Amino acid sequence: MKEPIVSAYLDGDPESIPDISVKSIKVFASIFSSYPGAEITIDDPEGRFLSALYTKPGATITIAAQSGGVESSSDSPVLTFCPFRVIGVSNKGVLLTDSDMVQLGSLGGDYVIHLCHPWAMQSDWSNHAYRAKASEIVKKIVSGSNRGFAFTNITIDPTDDAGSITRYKIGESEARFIHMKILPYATIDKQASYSFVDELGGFHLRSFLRMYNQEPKMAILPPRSDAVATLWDEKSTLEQMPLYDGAWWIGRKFLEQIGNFKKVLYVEDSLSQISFVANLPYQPAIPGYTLMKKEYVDNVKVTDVSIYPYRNFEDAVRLNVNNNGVMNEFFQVSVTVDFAPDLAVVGQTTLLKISGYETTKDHWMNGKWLVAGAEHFQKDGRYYSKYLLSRPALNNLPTDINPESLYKV
Amino acid sequence: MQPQYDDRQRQAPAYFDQLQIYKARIVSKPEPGDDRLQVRVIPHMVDIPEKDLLPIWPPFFRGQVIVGKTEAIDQKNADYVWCAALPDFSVGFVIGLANTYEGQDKYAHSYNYKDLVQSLMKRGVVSSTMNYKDLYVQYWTDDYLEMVNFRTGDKFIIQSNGNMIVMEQNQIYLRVGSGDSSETADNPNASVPPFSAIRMSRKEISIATPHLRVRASQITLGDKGLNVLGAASPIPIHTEGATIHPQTNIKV
Repeated sequence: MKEPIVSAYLDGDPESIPDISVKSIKVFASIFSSYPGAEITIDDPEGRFLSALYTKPGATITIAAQSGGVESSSDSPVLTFCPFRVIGVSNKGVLLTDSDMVQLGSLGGDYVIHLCHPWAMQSDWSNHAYRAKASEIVKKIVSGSNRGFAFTNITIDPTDDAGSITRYKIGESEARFIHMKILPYATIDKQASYSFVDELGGFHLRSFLRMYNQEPKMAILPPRSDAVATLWDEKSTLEQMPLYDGAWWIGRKFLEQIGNFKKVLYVEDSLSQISFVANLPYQPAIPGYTLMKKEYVDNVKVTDVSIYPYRNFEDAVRLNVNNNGVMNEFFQVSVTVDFAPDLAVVGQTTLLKISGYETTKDHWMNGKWLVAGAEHFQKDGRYYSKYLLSRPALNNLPTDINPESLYKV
Repeated sequence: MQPQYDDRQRQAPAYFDQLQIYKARIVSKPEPGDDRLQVRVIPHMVDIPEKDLLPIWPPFFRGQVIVGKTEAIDQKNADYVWCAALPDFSVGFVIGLANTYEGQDKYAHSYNYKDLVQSLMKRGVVSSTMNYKDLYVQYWTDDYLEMVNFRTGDKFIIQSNGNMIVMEQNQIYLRVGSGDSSETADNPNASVPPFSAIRMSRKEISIATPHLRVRASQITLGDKGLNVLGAASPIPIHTEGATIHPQTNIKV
């Protein structure tokens, strides 16, 4: 078995961060935040890197990786994560709450380099007014190169809005403008929109459904054993990865989510001065079963109320749809597999194929999931990828559960 | 960072659904039929290059039309207005013209009360007891002032050229022109341009004007029901020892 190779270069110099000194490299991203981050820990027992003022905030670091695989396979192509900038350097003992001690005299120990995508530091800060569809505004902004770097890979789905409302970018970064003034009022196919940069540097403005519709490149299965041998398919076109570690949370945001099933909206359209009281039943990004009891949802008239004064009707309705985006996290599973950023990054899909309590039966969790968060990290000298998988509803149910009792969306 | 040092926490977040007060400069007045104003919120929009996309907001109160000097006509001296708007400026209204703030120690941007009172007193329309502290000025510019004495209910509408409408408890005074009352209106040789004024009290109406023109098919003076005997003639008429002279300053 070949282990993955992960290396970091400081300001383009391949020799500057010796692999032998690197204790770990961690890269993380999420569809809910604007840009990814990373952390490199260098073993520096004598304080050599610190005394040389080895890295400074603002410096460029490139992280490149080559996935592992079976010995017989040919070398995987080198994959480069998005460019990163140093935003700080520390060691573990710096906080008053930290119990880790450093080497007296040299301030040696772990030399941790904190990294962020350049968009966190570099932005076009100029003020502008835009009147266009949200997707066109975002495209115009991210296609610009007046910030010291350019996005090379941009995926933008067309938004539903008419583009009749002027948006003002005033004293704010591009990322902040998009997240604060565009995203709340932008829907795609009448579903919530997400704007983020993935670990490889690609920019996305997408809906959950459009991301979910992508074909997975990877299937996650239980580690090979005789008991689950039937799950493994030697002819599979997907890369099959053993599951090392997993966790799940159903209803982590349940108290926010339950209100979306039958929400009532109070809106006074600022253009027409007409007041609306709209009953808005939940429209899921993908259909299926929630674990809500059917009778509960059927028997209650309203689960939550939202009031939007002063907004244009179009903005208010889209704001409500984006508030419903939390429903896409109704079911969440985290899985840890071999290092696989070449197979899945945030905004892509993966197939979950685990066994049920009886190993011959499918688990109700099985199926396609969206990668909502990702962390590629090193532990005990090995590199892994941990994915946070999300979906709003389930296709399958355990055979002993009566589907009639569950609220289907 | 403590909140008070965080610039963003000092401002209302862009997502607030609450109207905030902003100061803005008038950019332009749209064409007739559109009573809104195009404004530039200050300082937020001071350098926005897309001038056509600057907000166009209606008056805050229905029935009002707010105007002022615009950037389009005079870039440096455009008037400021108060606006109520959402923090992302997607919705907003113009409340009215904005005043200046000159600090705690002085305030130079006050109306000229002293000259105003002297002018009114010369025309006999206010008493010496009129008190600055009683005058509620509703609107004033260099050329116009409109105010009410909130104690007496007296109303004043005055233009800088001397025109005025004054409605006091005991009289109503209408005037056109700035001539001094010591030089009578009917004096063609007065050193200042003539003026016309009507002073109306419970007991009399006095009219001062260089030329009083009455156009009516019938004029009634008094209540005796008698007709005035007269003759229209360009020259004196001699009759029964008396000579009737024509009044050359009264024409019919």
